[in-house]
This record gives sequence, structure tokens and C-alpha cells, in this order.
Amino acid sequence: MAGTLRPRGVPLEGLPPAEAYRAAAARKALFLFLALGAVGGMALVATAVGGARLGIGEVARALGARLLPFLELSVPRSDLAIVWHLRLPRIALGILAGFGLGLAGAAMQGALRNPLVSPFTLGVSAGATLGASLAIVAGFGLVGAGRYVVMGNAFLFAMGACLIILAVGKLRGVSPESFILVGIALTYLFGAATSVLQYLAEEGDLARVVHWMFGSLAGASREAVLTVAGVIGMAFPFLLKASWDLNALAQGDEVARALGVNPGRVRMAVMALSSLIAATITCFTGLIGFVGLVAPHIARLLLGTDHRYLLPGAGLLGAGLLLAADTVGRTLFSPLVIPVGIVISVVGAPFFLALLLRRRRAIWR
Amino acid sequence: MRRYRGLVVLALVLGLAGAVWGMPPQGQGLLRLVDSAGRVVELPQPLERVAVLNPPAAEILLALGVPEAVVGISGTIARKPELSPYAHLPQLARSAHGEPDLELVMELSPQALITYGTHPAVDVEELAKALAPAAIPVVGIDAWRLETLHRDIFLLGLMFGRLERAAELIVFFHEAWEAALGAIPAGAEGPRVYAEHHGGRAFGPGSEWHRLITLAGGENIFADAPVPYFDADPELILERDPQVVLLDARGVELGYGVTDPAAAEVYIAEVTARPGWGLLSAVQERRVYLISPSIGSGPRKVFLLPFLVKIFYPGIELDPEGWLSRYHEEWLGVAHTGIFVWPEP
Amino acid sequence: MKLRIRGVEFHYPARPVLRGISLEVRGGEVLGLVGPNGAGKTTLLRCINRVLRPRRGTILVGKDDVGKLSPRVLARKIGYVPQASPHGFPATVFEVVLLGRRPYVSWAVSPRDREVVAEVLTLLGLEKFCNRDFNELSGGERQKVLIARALAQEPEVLLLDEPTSNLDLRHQLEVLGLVRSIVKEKGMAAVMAIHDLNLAARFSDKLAFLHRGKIHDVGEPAEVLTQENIRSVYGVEALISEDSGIPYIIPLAPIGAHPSPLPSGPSQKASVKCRCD
Repeated sequence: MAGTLRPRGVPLEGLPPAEAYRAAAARKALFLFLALGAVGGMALVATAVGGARLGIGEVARALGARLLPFLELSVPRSDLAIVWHLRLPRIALGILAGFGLGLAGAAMQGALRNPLVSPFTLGVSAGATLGASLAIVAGFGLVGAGRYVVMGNAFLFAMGACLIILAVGKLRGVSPESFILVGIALTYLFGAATSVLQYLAEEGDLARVVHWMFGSLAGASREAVLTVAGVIGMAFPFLLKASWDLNALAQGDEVARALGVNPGRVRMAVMALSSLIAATITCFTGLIGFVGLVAPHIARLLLGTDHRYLLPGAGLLGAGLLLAADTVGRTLFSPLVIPVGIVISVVGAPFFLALLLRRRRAIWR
Repeated sequence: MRRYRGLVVLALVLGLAGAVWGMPPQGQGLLRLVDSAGRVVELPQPLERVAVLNPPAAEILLALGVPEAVVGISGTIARKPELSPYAHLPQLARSAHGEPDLELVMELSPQALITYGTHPAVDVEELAKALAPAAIPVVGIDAWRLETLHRDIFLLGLMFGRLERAAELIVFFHEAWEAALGAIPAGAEGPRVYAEHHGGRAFGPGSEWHRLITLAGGENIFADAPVPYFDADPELILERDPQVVLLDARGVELGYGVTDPAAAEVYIAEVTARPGWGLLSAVQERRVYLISPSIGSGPRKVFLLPFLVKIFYPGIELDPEGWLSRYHEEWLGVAHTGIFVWPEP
Repeated sequence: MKLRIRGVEFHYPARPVLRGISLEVRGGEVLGLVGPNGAGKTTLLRCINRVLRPRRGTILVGKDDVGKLSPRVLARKIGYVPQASPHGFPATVFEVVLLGRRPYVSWAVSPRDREVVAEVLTLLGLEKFCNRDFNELSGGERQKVLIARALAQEPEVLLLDEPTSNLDLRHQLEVLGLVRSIVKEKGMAAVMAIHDLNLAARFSDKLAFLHRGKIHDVGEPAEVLTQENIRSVYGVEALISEDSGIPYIIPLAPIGAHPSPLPSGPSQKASVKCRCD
């Protein structure tokens, strides 16, 4: 099995091929269910902890007051506000954002046949940063008003970057290398524009831009949660359906074509969907890097490379990672809140390095 | 209160001591002093042509009545309407941060360059080294930290031979403080306060805002924070329920010369729309205040204290606006116009 | 007639590669495609399975025009074995072969799919590898897996692009022998692009010489493997010999150069025993 899910009792080598495959598949499905349960459990724990001095009982009462109105619990308004307006949206956004980034990362890596890409590879992160900087520093926003300007701008520029790349792909050829190269070029280009803005910015605006770039779940609100959920809910079935095509793509464009897959079309569709997910998440949370790169890797180690299991697996792992990071970030140094992007990078990077060094076998070339 | 009188005396003594140490024989020679950055600097006397990059120092020079000694400024100074007497002067830099255009400075050939001494974005030593070949000494005069404001005023007075006026300015500031602190009703309990600055971060102990809030009798809800600037946990804001919310407004149109509070209203509305904020006492009693940059930083931060006192104890007899208008008209010589705190306390 | 190629022409933007190719392959027959590099062997294969679109000509699999079939349906008829697989993400051998079922699968893997894969693995002697990582196998075993994948497509036509170029002697014989017997057993038509003339002669039912984009000659190996053909197509002077009905060639020298000495014996006449057995 390409993966560490070996059963305790039954040696796979003893089984005939078809049975062995079924057993492995069943195990992977089981893992996914367990992962789902684990994320659910983490969500419950995260709801119960936080800066405010709410005990588990008070949290439960606050939850019950809205979920089970017939109980007619009386709960202080501040408790309700803390649980329903602050914690739950934040936890929900954390799970959704983590899921989306993990999913998009795995899909992108499959489509581009490259384990080094992330959902931001196509210039999405650079575009979002430029859009946010333009809105914050220059007050220039293409859409929205008030605080929506930053969000709307970030989204538009992020998708703009993606569209440019897809258009170039249509004109110049859809090989993974060309997409990655154009993505890198766009990242530099947008990065340069952002640097100019930062140079010209006043202190206050500069601080806000930098703050935005850290990536945090502080902007969690009902609309954020619903929007992200909607986009992921729409994209996830499409990506899942493309699993077989992604599996075929991993063997090379030529082989994929011989198996009946249109590599160019699949690649563009998957990249567009992944970028859409990433852009949507980013406009609410700022830049949360790393999850989209690492969750697919860990999922691949555990579940193998069949995208039917890998995509949801990477999503669930991403959700768990992000939720854990945010929960730690907002409870460890109370009353300080450490933005989740920072926690993920600080904890995740060394962890990932350790993981890479321990595995002797190269995961790629 | 007694503390501050002592401080004034101490400042006078320090200033005089510095003066005695460095005062050259009548009329000409060098003045040796220790600047805000702790550097020993030698300046020619009399100073009649200086370049100033940091607005607080430029403001004090205006208050001391020597604007004609300034021959070069920075972009930020030029853009401040209350520093209009300087507006026509050549600009040597966009702001005091980073480096000025060295060629322009050397071309202008002032007797000295004044900039921030201890600001993180300014490296006075590097600048001094860069200008040394042109024999232009660089003096660091912060004038933006409250704790060193008196000393900085004195240094400037010393440099330009306006010691008496400098002392008067210090006394004026001191009187404003006395009035504010004296107006705090005896035995009154100050409100719980949450203060946030333009980056969205909260002020904790170690920051000037925290100090001023405490002096004015308020209780910073994050007095237990370990650092002066940090992202506050929104749950704790809800739990600790501040009665007054102060917003440091850099980036919002408010302050000297602004007469339309529309932008301020919009910003306050956005802030109070945050999840759960509707429950805060401060929001329900409409005690969310936007503090303009004019008094949020720089020498006029002195007047922030009277405004805070007025905000914290509604209905008391105190006229912070009056003090500020006297400063503008009698000291800076500019018209008093603008909204400095919104809503007006 | 399983595979009919008629008048196929293909141009790369700058230059023509295939000019008027016509070939026929029966079920159970292996057609060896030989010729120098750049003759267009791989290009022709790619035209057959529609990776490339020929400018002119038709290709029929049974009664179906390849150009009119959807890629998915085409993949059920034509199986393609590439020269090598990119060293990519890890996957088990079973999973790699299972990919061959993609033309039949939309999401779930049916018992039939698993059966076909298991069957094919057994046919090629790969069952013991079914759970091993594909990248860990030796070159020969990997090539067999790629063949297995193509066979899992249950195709009518099998295309092989240089199936033995990276293999050692033993595996060359094993792989080609397997291809020949499976093709015969299942009644498939196979087209094999191969550069080793001797292997091609030995394991093909027909040989086609591709030269400068045209079919120079086609027929049974014994007929077509002649000194004149070798001279025209490769520009090489060679000796043709025969052992047990199987022709083999010994290249001597490029035309216009001095003949290089033979490794054993001074005799230039054909009686060198072939040792490949």
C-alpha cells in the first residue's frame, strides 16, 4: 500500500490482489470517517475553550439556549454573543478554510503533477495581497464599500491573476511547467506592485496591510462562513468527480490522453476551481499559507495517491490543522491572540521538515 | 500633581545644566549638547539655517517663534495644514522615516539637520555619517514621546536661544495637565476603557496611551497584557465590557482642518458593527470615540489627557478644546479649526 | 481486419512527418514498426490513438473511424503502452493497472474491474507485486505493469512505443514473448514501434519499414529484411542471415565508410550463429 495504513492482523501479501485492494480501500474509507469524527471532536473542544472565563457548562447552556429553545434556558447575553457570534463562526471558518485549502492544494498538486505547488501557486496569493494593498493604501477598490472594499478587491485581483494564467494557457499550451512558470512570473509582478504600494504607504496603512498578510480568522462572521461553505460545497463534488482524471494525469499527459482523459481541459478546470476556493477563503482570512501545501503531503503519506481518498483526506487534515492552530493561537497567550497564519508557520514548518527528513524514500523525484 | 511641578523644575535644571556645559562665549562658537538619541552633538551658534524632517520638532520650533530659521522640511511637514508657515520650503524627504535625499540636503547646506532621535524607522548615526562629509551635524530631537517632551523642548530652546519661551511653553503644557487632573472629581471611579490603534491592535501597559488612560483615572481592560501592542481576544472585549472605547484614528479623516465628521461616523459605525459589540456598554451608551492624529501623537498629545478626562467624566467643568485653541492661536499662530475628537465629549 | 490505416498524413507546424501511410493489421497479428530515429514511428502511433490529429487519412478500428469516437470510447478500443512512465507520486501496482479501467469507470470500482485487473496481473506474472510501490520495481517489471494497464483497457488494438529500449536481455525476451502470445490469444491487433531490428524480426508477424514519413516496405520479416532495404532505410551495409526460419541482421558499416572488423573470425559470409535463445 502506498501509505501507512497497514492492518494489524492480516498481511496484505497473503491476499489475492482483488481482495487486498478492497481491504485497503475499506481501510482508507474508515480513516476518512475517523478523521471526520476527529475534526468534529476538535470543534467541540474548541467551542469549550477560549479567552473568556466560560466554563463548559456555560458554553453548553449558551449552545442549548439557541439549539433547543423549548428548554427555555436563561443565559447572559454576553455568553450568547461570545459563543454564537465569536467562537462558533471562528471555528466554522477555521474548519472550512482549512478544508478548502487542503482540498485545493491536493487538487492543484494532482493537476500540475507537482508536489511543490499550493493553491496560491497561480498568483492567487500575490493577486489577493495586491488587491488588499490597493484597497488599504490607495483606497482604490473596484467593488464594495466600507470594509468590503478590501475583501472584494482581494478576491477580484486573485481571480484576475488566475484568469490571466488560464488565458495564457489557452494560448501558449497547457503543460504543467508553463502554468507554474507563468504563475511565478505573475507572483513577482504583483509582488513588485505591492512593494511599491507598501513603500508609499503611511505608517497606519502599512501596518494594516502587514496585518492582513498574516492571515487570521478574526474576520469570521456568518457571511464569511456561508460564502466559503457555499463555494466549497459547489466545488467539492466537481473535484471529487475529477479524481479518476487526476489519477490518470499523474501518469503523464500522453498516457492520460490514451486513457480517454483530456489533460488540458481537466488541468484548467481543476486549477480554476482550486483558485476560486483559495481566493474566496483568502479574501476573508488574509494569507494563510502552508496548509495548502502540507495537508496534501501528509494525506498522501497516510492515504496514498488515489485522489478519491486523497482529496477529502487532505481537506479534513487541513481543517484539523487550521482549527488546532487557531485554538492554540487564541488561548495560549491570553489576552493576546496570535494570528493563525503565524501559528501555522511557526509550528508547521519545523514539523514538515522533520517529516521530510524522516522518510528515507523520496516522495517525488 | 506635585510630581509634575517637580518635573518642570528638574527639566529646567537639566536644561540649564546642559546650557552651562555647552554655552560658548557670547555670540559665536559651538553649542555642545546631548540629543534624544544620547549622542553628543556640536552645533554652530547662532543657528539660523536648519533643516527639519520630523513634524513634532517643526511644531515646537513654530511654537518657540523661530520658523524663519527653518530652510528645509519633509513632505509630511508640508502636508500638515497647522504647519502652514513651512509649506513653501523645499522638501528634502518624503518623511522623516528612512533617508532624505542627501544631495538635496548638501545642496541646501543647512547648519544642522533635525530629525527623530529614537524612532525605529530612523537611523541617526547612519544619517550623521552620510552628512559628515558636508559638515552638517545631525541632531535627534524626538518631540513625540511625552516622557521626554520637556527635555526636547528645552533642547530646542537652547539651540535657538529661546530658553525663556521654551520654559513658558512647558509651563503652558503643565497648566493644561494640572487643569485636567484637577478636574477629576474626587473619589470618582473612572470607566473601564478599551483603546485600539489604527492597526487594529490594543494598547497595553508600556504604551503611552495606557499611561494616559490610567492617569485620567480610567481602567484599561487589558491592564494585564504582557506587551504594549497586541491583537486582543475579541471574547475578552465582550467579557470585560468596556464603558468607553477609544480609537486611534490614523487613516481616517479627522483632526486639524477637518470640519466634516462623516468619515469618522463611518469608521465608528464599522467598528461598532463587529460581532457582539452591540452588547458593549460603550456602544449602547454611545461612548465610542475616535481620536484624531492631531492629538493622538506628537506634542499635542499633551492635550489628549484633558480630552480623556472630559470623556471619562461627562459633565465636568473642563474645556480641552479651549486649551488646544490657545495652543494653536497663541503658540503656533494658526487658526483653530477642526474636529479633534469625535463625537465631541 | 482489426486495424486499417489509410492515407494518413501528419505535419508538425514546420515540417511534414508522415506522408500517405497505409497499413493493415489483422486480429492476432503483431506489426513491427521499424525505421531510423525521426522516421515518424512514434508520431504514427500517436495518430492511431488520436493523441495527434492527422491532416488527412482515416484510421479504422474494426468498423469505427477513430476520428469520430469520443476519447473515452476510443480508450476502450485502443490500449497504449508508453516507453516509460514518469517517476511520480507513489502508487501501488494494482492502482496503476486499475487506471486502465478508467474508460469504463465513473466513480466506484466494480467487482468486474477488480477481476479484470487481477486477471491481467496473473497473466503477466505480477500478482506478487500487486501491493508494492510501482516506483520500486525494476525496469522490466515496470514495463510489464504498463502493458498490464493497457491490457486492462480490454482493447482491440494494442500500441507499444519502444517497449524494450530500457530493458536487459532477459526482460526484452520475456516482454516481447508475452506481447506476442497475449495478442494471439486475445485476437488483438498490435502495432509495435521498435528500433532493434532483430527483436522486431523475431517477435513480429509483419514488419513495416518507415522511412522519411513513408512506408518503404511492409511484409513478413523474412521477405522484407533484405540488404537493399537496410541500405535504403538506414544507409547501412549489413549481412542478413537466418536461423530456424528467423531472419537476423548483422550490421557491418555505414555506407561510405570502412567496414568495421567483425568480433570473431575473418569470414564475411553469413554463418555466424545467433546466440540469442
